[in-house]
Amino acid sequence: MDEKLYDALEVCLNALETGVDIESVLKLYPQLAEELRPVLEASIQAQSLALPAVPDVAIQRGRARVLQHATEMRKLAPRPRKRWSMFTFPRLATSLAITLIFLLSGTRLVSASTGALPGDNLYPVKRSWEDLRLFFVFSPEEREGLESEFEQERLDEISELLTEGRDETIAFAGLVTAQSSAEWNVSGITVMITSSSRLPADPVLIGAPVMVIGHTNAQGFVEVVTLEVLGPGASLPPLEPSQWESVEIEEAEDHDSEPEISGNQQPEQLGNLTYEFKGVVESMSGNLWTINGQQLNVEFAENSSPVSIGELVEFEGYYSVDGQFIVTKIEVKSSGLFKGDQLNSSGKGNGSNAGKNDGSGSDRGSDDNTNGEEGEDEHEDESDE
Amino acid sequence: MTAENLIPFPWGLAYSMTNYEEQSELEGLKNLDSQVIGAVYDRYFADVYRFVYYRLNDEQVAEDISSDAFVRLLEAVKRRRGPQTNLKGWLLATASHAVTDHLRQSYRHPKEVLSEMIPNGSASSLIEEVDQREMVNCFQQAYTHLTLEQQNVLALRFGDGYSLEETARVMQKNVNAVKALQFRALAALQRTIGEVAHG
Repeated sequence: MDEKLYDALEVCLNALETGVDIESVLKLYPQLAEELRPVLEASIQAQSLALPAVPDVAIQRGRARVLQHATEMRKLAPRPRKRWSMFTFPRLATSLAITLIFLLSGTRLVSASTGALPGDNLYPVKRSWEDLRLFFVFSPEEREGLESEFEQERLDEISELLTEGRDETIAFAGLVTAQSSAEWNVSGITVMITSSSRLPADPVLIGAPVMVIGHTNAQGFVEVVTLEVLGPGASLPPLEPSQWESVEIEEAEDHDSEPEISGNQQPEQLGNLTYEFKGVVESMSGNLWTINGQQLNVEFAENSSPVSIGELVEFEGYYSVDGQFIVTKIEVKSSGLFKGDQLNSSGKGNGSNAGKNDGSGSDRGSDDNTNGEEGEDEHEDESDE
Repeated sequence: MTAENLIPFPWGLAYSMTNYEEQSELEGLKNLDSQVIGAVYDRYFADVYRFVYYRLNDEQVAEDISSDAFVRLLEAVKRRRGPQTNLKGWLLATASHAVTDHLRQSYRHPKEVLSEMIPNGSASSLIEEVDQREMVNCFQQAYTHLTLEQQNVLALRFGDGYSLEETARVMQKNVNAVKALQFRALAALQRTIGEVAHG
């Protein structure tokens, strides 16, 4: 009942506001008129007391007072004093903190990263730490030794990756020690030259220092993406100790026994590095043989058996001071079996020709198909119309 | 966190409407930005003034209390005790408190109040024109006998001309409660006016 009365009052108030008089409004609720009438009369009085308009003077004076107060507050507000603290330079503070963290935790992180291989999370830490170590080495000899050590580390990493059969992108520097068609050996790592490998325009010679970028794979070799010949002075890993020590010993023996036979003085060795290579004999003119495109001096070589052109041989030797490769030992690995495979030009030529023919054939076929389909489409369109 | 928890006023911060404009206004007030202060003042001053005037029927006091509400707003915002939302509700609540304080002081010094209120009453024997003033005076006296909530509901609905819904929001009450409240307020007012007039 009360709620009905309250609702009725609200309706009546809204009606009065629109200018309707009390009597008319009360006709809406005849049974409640008795109770509503005094309340509505009071509401008219209540309404009459409302201020029709706020005086402008009051608005302006009030406004001035409030704004003046704000001005005083601004004046009184303590000016923020500049305090120099760590937080004044947030970036500096951050970098200092990071440096500190690295210094404190660096050795632990680095020691954890020593066994990291390319593709591991900690591998970048390992490489950064190596760069950092190099950065702080100022003696050229020490630097060279360290660089050489790190290059050896790259080879070890790759060997490990190949053992694990992982597929990772790697880069390493080394000497080309053997070349047989697509399979090369760079500082003990077997690398495979594929049709998509990028090689320098000039032929890469055995003994050339190279940088290899490629992928390790489960078959135990590195698929070459890019192979570049390095300039002089590039840091290379030291040759495998077993590789050159044994050679050196044999070489020392050679020194004792051979000179008298040849009568010629064996050319002086450049550095004390000796190399072991594999390759195919391409030409033989006296003591100058061409193996894998490189001219070699076999004058002082120890031959186990007679060698003929086209044979795959394994040989050891060194670079002389005048830049010649002096062969100290030569051994025939096969006779004639590899002839066809070893000649790169013939093999490559066949492959590319075959590819070309296949490609053009399939192109033509696909053209025919599309033409046929277009014809059908047109036909269908016509029938639809 | 609701508005009620933040500001200890009995009513006034009803709806916690997230109003982007209001938030930027509050930010401007904190920085004592003259333009923002001016804009806030222009927007709400009339409402506060009408409300105070309705409750006190005194232009001078209404002006003082209304402008004071804005000064208090600046101080409160600076001390981080200002409104988080519903600026209008906060200003009206602050003005309501000021009115209550003013009335309390008036009761303690009744002479001043009487000197302001009686002149009309003492002229009751004069001409018809005076009847109107007499009626207003009766109303005023009757009005002051209402409860605080009843006074406020009438000041908002008739003084400010707020709708039922807006009044409910500002008073933090539901619409039905305000309906009942305004009915009782008007009924009590009518009763008291009768008593004042005839007694």
